[in-house]
Amino acid sequence: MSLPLLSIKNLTVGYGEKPILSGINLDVFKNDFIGIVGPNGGGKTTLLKAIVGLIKPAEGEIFFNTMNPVGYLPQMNQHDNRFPIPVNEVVLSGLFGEKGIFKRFTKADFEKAEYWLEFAGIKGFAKKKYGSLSGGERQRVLLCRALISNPDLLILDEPNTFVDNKFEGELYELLKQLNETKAIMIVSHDLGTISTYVKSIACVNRDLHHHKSNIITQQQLESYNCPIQLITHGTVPHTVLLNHDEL
Amino acid sequence: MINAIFEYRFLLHAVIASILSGIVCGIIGTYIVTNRIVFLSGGIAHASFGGLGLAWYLNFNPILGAAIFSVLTALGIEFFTDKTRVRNDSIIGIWWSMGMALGIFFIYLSPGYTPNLMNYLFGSILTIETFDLYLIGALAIVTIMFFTLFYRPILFISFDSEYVKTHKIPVALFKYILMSLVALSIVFSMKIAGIVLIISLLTIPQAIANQITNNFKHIMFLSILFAILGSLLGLAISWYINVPSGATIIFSLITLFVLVNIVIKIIKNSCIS
Repeated sequence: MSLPLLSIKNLTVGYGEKPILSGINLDVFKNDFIGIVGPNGGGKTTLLKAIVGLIKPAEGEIFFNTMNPVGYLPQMNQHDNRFPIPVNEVVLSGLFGEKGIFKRFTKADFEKAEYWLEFAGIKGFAKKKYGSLSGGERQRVLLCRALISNPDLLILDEPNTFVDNKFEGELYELLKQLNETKAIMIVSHDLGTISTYVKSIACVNRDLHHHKSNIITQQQLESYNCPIQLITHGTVPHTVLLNHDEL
Repeated sequence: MINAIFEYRFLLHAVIASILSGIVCGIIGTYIVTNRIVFLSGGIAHASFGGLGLAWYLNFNPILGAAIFSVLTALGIEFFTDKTRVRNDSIIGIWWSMGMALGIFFIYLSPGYTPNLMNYLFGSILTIETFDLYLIGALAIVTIMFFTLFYRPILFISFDSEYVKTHKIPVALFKYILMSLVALSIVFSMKIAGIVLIISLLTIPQAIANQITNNFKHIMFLSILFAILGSLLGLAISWYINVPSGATIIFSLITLFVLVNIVIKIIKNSCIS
């Protein structure tokens, strides 16, 4: 097997007796599609933030074996609805890493933005005000922002919150298509739906167990110290269980 | 009044200062309004009074004293918000009141002549000197250059600073520089609108511009226009009826705000019918 795109070795995040994450090891290869599950507060978002460099690890290392590593779609944060920014500028901000603070955007960059908007099914939205869009449309814009740098690894933190079922289905189809050329890591609270798309499941609850299949049983989840319930269908809300050591 | 401008040097100073601070406040105010840091800016304005009092006590240029103090306040608030768990608006409230208290404390301790506080608190067109023009002129040049060179970084950081951090951009450095510019634009415009009323020049022109456009850059340009218009109108009224310029500038800006809204309504209605 070739070199992994991303290699996490013995990662610990947070200090003291109860770090948020400890002793994490994970290799992500080209064409991987990993669904990340785990209870609330178990460290899923923290893991992604460490990978994209927002949180400094207390211990361990994160390596990238690629020139063009990460496209990041953060958890839906409350952007100011009235902030005066058009959709295409939001998408272009995804090129900031390669452009730096001095270089200006070219016509080709704007065309790239148009290309990804069309890919995400929101062609013609370029000049619209970001704040005037619906939840699903905003997630599409943020997906374009993550994709415009054409990364080898796409990292998505609960992209299916605040969106309608129609978009959720479309999103998974888009991801399936993207997975042909990119590795994908996706945090989701809806294990039932993503398990049909992902190729493997990572259970994150202070530590990480990488289950190399998209079929998982309740017993296996429990053996991974991952107290979540398998939800097969519908829109049942995220069930939160206590960690074992808190019971 | 046009003749008087060339007859009285201080009036010429006031006109030039209005134009220069209109440019600065138009640009910086757009950053303040879109980032929702109006309260923070109010805190910096009031805290600068502490530096003013201290400078007066130490026999030092009051505007420079206020400038140093307000920059430290701005950086301090930005720093403590990052590093401590005290709520951001509580920190602002503390600096706000502490600055005012220090100011009045030192001014009363100063021996001899005490300054006319009304001039600093509510603006006075009569007190603008050549040195003040150099300060605000230099700030205008720096502000224009900074926003021209780094327009997109500023826009992206304002919209989603956490995401920008993932691209290894020095977000904290940008924020410190922008906060310093906010502090300086407040202090150097102080003599026109006054400490208590300066926030008007940083918010009302932007509110008017935002009625007309939703584009960050256009809001900046229109804000400059409205800030200059409001200041000059306010100056003229202040000159004729002898009332502090801060108050007359605010009335002019609010009148502009109402007028623009009426015009927009009329245009919209005529488009529908």
